[in-house]
Amino acid sequence: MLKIENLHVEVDGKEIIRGLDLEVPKGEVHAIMGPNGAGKSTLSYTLAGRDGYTVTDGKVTFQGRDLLDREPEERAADGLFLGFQYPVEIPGVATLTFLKTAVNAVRRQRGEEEYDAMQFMKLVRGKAKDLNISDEMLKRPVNVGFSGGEKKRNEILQMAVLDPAFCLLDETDSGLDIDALKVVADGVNALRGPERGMLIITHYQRLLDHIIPDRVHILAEGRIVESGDKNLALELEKKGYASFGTDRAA
Amino acid sequence: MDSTAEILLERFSGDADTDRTAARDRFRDAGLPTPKQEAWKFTNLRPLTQFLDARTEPANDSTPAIPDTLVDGAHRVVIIDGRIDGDLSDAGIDGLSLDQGGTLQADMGGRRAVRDLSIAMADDGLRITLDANAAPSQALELVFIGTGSRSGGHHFTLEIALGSNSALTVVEHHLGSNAYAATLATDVRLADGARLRHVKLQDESIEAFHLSDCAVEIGRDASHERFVLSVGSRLARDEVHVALNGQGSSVRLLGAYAGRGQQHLDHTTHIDHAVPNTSSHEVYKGVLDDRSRGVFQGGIRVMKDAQKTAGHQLNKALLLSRQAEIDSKPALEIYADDVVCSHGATAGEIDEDALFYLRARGIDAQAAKSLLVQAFLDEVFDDIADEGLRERLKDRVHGALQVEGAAHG
Repeated sequence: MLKIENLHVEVDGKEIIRGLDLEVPKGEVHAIMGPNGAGKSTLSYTLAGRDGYTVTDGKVTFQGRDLLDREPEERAADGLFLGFQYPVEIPGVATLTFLKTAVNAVRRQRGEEEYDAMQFMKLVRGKAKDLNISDEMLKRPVNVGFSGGEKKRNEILQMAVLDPAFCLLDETDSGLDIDALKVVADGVNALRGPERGMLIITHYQRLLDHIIPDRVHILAEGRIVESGDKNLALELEKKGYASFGTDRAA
Repeated sequence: MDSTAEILLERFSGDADTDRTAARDRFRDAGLPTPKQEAWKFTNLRPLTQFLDARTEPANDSTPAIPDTLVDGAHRVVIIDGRIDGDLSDAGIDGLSLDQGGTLQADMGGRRAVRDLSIAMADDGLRITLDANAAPSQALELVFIGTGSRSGGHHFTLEIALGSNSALTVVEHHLGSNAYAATLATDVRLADGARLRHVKLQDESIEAFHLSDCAVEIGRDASHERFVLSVGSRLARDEVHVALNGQGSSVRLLGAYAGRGQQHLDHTTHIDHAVPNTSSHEVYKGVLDDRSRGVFQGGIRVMKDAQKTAGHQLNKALLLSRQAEIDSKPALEIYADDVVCSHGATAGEIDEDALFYLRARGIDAQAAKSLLVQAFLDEVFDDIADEGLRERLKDRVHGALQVEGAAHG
């Protein structure tokens, strides 16, 4: 479903991703673990199409189509969803307005009929309830004054409402206490399915206690240095990142 | 006397009105202001001269379309090219008197070019008087339409006097087509405990000049809320001078502006805190695209006796193009020692993080930009109590900001 081949990415003239290969078939959940500076966020921003992340070599195909020449909004419409590590605050835009604009923008690009207010509210209310998101929170401006946990739950709500084919979650566990982590993990698990792929990027193993991955990859210095099943995450937790350094990748 | 003033005053009939004569004399002596004067440093009126010259041929001849009222059920006075059109006006509000004509006191201390020009050259005027304790539920709407079919510009004087403990909403709607120059001098006097809500939509023709000078005197425990939205004109200056003369008086000045093309939009305010226990709150927000230019000059003066003054001023501009420009000049003069005053001015570009976040959710770049720009401005509109009016003004500014290709349902 998502196939990355020999990807090289520069930020501000500095190479961060250095020949990364990865394939996530549909129906599977993969995790990428890596220390600070390994290139985790660069990978997620590159896949989502952010300006300033220059692909100098390699290729990414998503559902059989070249991903890298698509605009960020087109990637979203194609079904790629990025859950942000740091969700952005947008003063003056109510969360509901934002959600409705996004859902209908995606539906329009997919050639589907836009939701009217009634259909949309029904959709959002149900999903919000599962995530403990109150009506009051939906009326507030996007992420403004939200706690860390509220921001991440809001990300999962957006994901649930947009119903993407592929979920890319960038350090979704950061800034969460254990209760919030559980709510978020339940939200993610509810979206697991045979037609959907997921790539979970994280620094710590603890998220993977709640979202059990099919495959685990270790990212160091811009490439995958080790891949394995869920036990690799446990092994990593014991031994630390140092034992999976670039020397073993050479 | 410079040649500009000579041209302009050729129309002056030289009647016996001493205020008009005084205004004319002052204007004749000083001429049009130039950027050499501090108050006009950022706004150059030179291109205005030809539109004030009554000897030039009018650019066009057109019949104006009368717009719907901005406030549902408002009574209105329609002013076409500086003259009240009685047939189109309907202003029967209990407790409210409207008198055509009249003039304003010329000397307000200091040089006030637009005021002098309007008074000296006034084509017509209106005096609005509200009885003490009256609080009509209907708003009064003044519709100023420019057609470009009269040379020499059009000039109007307006007086709004509210009796003690009365309350009124006045809406000004300025619009038009073709090229012309419109000037307006306004006096607002609020007696003790009076409350005036004043909303102005400056939506003049994009070829027009709009110059307005408004003087406000606020009595004890009286309050004034003023909102201005500027979207029209090639060059506009909205100047407000507020005197908080009574203890417990307050003023809120709010402004929003959206400039495109080569528009020049100037908002100049001055607030005098003359006595103890007065407050002022001022927020202006603007969005500037293309080569447009915004000017904000905000003066606050706290007199020696004006203890316990609260004064807050904020000017924020969002620049959508590298050629757009904002000149912001706050000026605080504080002579009392027990006051709380603040001011802030910012100029910035669209938040790239927010833009990417919206795009990553499927919203295209132009629509995302529009959403962020609207969100930036919308806050200023929250003070407008009448929902219909608020939404109409928001729609107007959103329309003005609609970037090509951003039209989405």
